[in-house]
Amino acid sequence: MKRIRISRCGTQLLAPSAPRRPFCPCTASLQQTCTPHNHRIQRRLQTTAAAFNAADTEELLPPTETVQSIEQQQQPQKQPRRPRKLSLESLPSPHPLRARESVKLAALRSRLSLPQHFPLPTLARTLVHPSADPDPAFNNASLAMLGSNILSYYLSEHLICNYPRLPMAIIFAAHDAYIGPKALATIAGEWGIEAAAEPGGEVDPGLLQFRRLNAGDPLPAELRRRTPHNWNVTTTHRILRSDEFGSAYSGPSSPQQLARKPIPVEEAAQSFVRALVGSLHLHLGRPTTKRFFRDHFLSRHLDLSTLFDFRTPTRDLSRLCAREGFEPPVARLISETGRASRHPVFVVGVYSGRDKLGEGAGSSLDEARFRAAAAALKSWCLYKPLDVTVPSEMEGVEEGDAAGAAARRWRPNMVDCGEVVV
Amino acid sequence: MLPRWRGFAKLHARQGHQPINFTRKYIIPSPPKLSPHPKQPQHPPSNPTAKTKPPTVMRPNTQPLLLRRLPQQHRISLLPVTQTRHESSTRRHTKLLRIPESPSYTPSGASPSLIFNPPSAAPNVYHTPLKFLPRDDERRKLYEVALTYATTTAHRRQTSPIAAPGTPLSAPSHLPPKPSTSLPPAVRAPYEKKYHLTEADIEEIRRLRAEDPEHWTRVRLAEKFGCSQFFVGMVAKNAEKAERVAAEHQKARERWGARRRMAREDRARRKVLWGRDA
Repeated sequence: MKRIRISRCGTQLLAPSAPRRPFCPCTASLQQTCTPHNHRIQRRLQTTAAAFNAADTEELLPPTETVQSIEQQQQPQKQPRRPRKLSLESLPSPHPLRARESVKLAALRSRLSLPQHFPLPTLARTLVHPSADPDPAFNNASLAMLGSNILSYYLSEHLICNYPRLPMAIIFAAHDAYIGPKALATIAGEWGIEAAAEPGGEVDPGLLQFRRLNAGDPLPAELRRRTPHNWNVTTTHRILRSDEFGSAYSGPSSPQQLARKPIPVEEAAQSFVRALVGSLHLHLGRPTTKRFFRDHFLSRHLDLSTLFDFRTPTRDLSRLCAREGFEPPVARLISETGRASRHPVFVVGVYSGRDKLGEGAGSSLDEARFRAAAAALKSWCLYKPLDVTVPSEMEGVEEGDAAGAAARRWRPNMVDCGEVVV
Repeated sequence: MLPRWRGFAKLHARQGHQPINFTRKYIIPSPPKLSPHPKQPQHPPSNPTAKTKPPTVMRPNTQPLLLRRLPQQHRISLLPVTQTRHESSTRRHTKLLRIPESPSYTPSGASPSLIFNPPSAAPNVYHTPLKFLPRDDERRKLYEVALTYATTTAHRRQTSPIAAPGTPLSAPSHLPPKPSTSLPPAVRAPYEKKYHLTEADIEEIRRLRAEDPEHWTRVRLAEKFGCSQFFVGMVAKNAEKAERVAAEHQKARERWGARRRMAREDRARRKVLWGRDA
C-alpha cells in the first residue's frame, strides 16, 4: 500500500515557499567564476561572515595607504602611485583593522571578562594559527610560545609548592590534565571559539583561522608521534630534555614550523588559548594574567589521588618507612564481614607502631592489604603544607609597585627529599 | 482459598466434631430473664382501684449484647503463635542495645559544643596521618590533642577486664565491640628479619640447588635454612628449571577452557585496579 508522508498532508495549506536565496550576495558571482566541484572554494564561502562590496574593500584597507604614505615619505620625489586594489580573498587572514567591527571578538572579550582596553586586534591575532598565515607578524606563534611558558610556570609552581612530595610522574600527568593539549582544546570549546572552515581575509576575525586537516589525511610530520631515540627514557631525561608534560617524543619546537600545513582543530584551539594568555601578559600585566589563570585553569577540578598507579605498594611503603625511620608497616584487620560467604569484605589498616597510616577495604585480605598500602603512600605523596608562598606572589617587590606584595613576607616552602626509589 | 476452607469444615464434620463456624464471630446471647425478686414483698394494693394497673417490673436493657467469641481450638490452631515477653528476655534485649554513645556526642563541659559525627566512610587520602607530617607542621598539635581525647575516652568506656572477649562473662552479641585501646590483630604474623645466613650458608644453598634442583626446591631450601623462598630465589637462581616450569605452566594454561580463561583474565584485570583506584 502506498503511504503518504504526513508532512506532505498539510503542505497545500501553507503559503508557497519563497524562492531559494543565496546565503551570501557574492555567491552568484563566485559561482560563475569558479568550478563548482572545488570543495575548497565552497568551504571558503561557508566561512564568509558578511557581504563586502568591492568599493568598501578599498576603504577597509587603510594600511596599504599608510604603507604607501611611508614609502612616499621615504621617496618623496617619486610620483604617488595609485593605491593597489587588494581583494579580501587575497589576504591569508583577516585584516587587523577589521577586528574593531567584529561582533564575535567583542562578545568573546566580554565573555572572558577582559577589560575594555584589551585591544581587539590582538585578540584577533591570537586566533590566527601559523598554518593559516605564515607571516610571524600576523599569526599567533610568538604569543603562543610566551603563553605556553607562562602557563607551565604558574601551574608547576602551584603544584610543587602545594604538594611538595608529589612524584615526578604525577606532576607530569597533572600538567597534562590541567594545561595539556586536550584540556586547552576543551577550554577553547567552552569559551565558545568556533573554527572557520577555511582561513582567508574575508572571514570573520572572530573565528579560529587555520588550515584544516581533511578527514583521513595523515598528520603532518611535525605532529606525528616519533619513537624516541633511546627507548629507555628515564625520568631525568624527561625532566631535562622533554617538554612540561614529560612526553617521550618531541613535538614541534616552534608553532612556526606548522606554517601552511593542514592541522587538526585541537592543535589550533590550544595555540589560541596559549596565545591569549601570552597576550594578556603583554597587555594587562602579571596580576591580571595570574587571576585569569586561577579563574580559568586552576578552577578546573582535578583529583590528584586518581593519577596514581601503584604496582608494588607494600614494598614501596616498607622502603619509605625504612627511609624515614618509622617502624616497619604492619597490616592489621580492623573489621570483616562474611568471611565464608561469596562476597566478603575486609577492612585492613596499615600501622606503623601505634599510628595508622592508611586504610583499605577489599574482598580478600590481600586486596585490602594492597589497597591500604596504596592509600598510605597516597597520603604521604599528597601532603599539603598549611602556609604556602608561591614564587610569583613575590614578583614586583623589588620594583616596589605592588603594595600587597611588600606586606607579604617570603616564607621558604617545604622541599621534600624526593620520591622513594626502590 | 474457599475450597480449602470447605474441605477443612468437612474434615471436622466427618470426625464427628462440631464444625467451626468461622463466619459467625458474634453471637447474641439470649437476654437473661429477670423476674421480680421473689423475696421482695408484694405491696398489697393500697388502693383497690389500682388493680387495673400492671405491676412495675424492672427490666434490663433489651439491646443485644455483643460478645466476641474465639473459635474453638480443639486440635488445629490457625492463630499465630503469640509472643510472650518475660522479664528475663526483655532485660537481655535492652542490655544488648545499651551501646555507649559516640565520644563526639558526650560534651566535655556544660556549655553547648559542636557535635561532629560523620558517617563512617573510607578515610580521605588528603588527610595526612600524624606520622607523615613534618616536624614543624602545626597540625601535629591538633592531632595530638585529638589523640589524647580519643584515648582517654576509650579508656573510660573500655570493657572491664573480667568481661573482655574470651572470658565467660562476655556476652556474645551482633553489636560492634566496645572501643578498646589495643590494636587490632595483625593480618599476618609479624616477624623480624633475622639476617642470620652467612656466606657459607649461601654457598651451601647454591650448591644444593645446582646439585639437585628437583629435590632442593625453593620451599625445601627455605625450610632448611629458615629464610624466605624469595631470598632463596634471589640467591640461587636456576634458569633452566625456571624455563621448564614456566613452559609447564603455559602448557597447562593452554588447556583452559573459555570460561576459566575469561575468569583468570578478569581477575588479573581487577588486580591491576587495586593500585589504581580508591
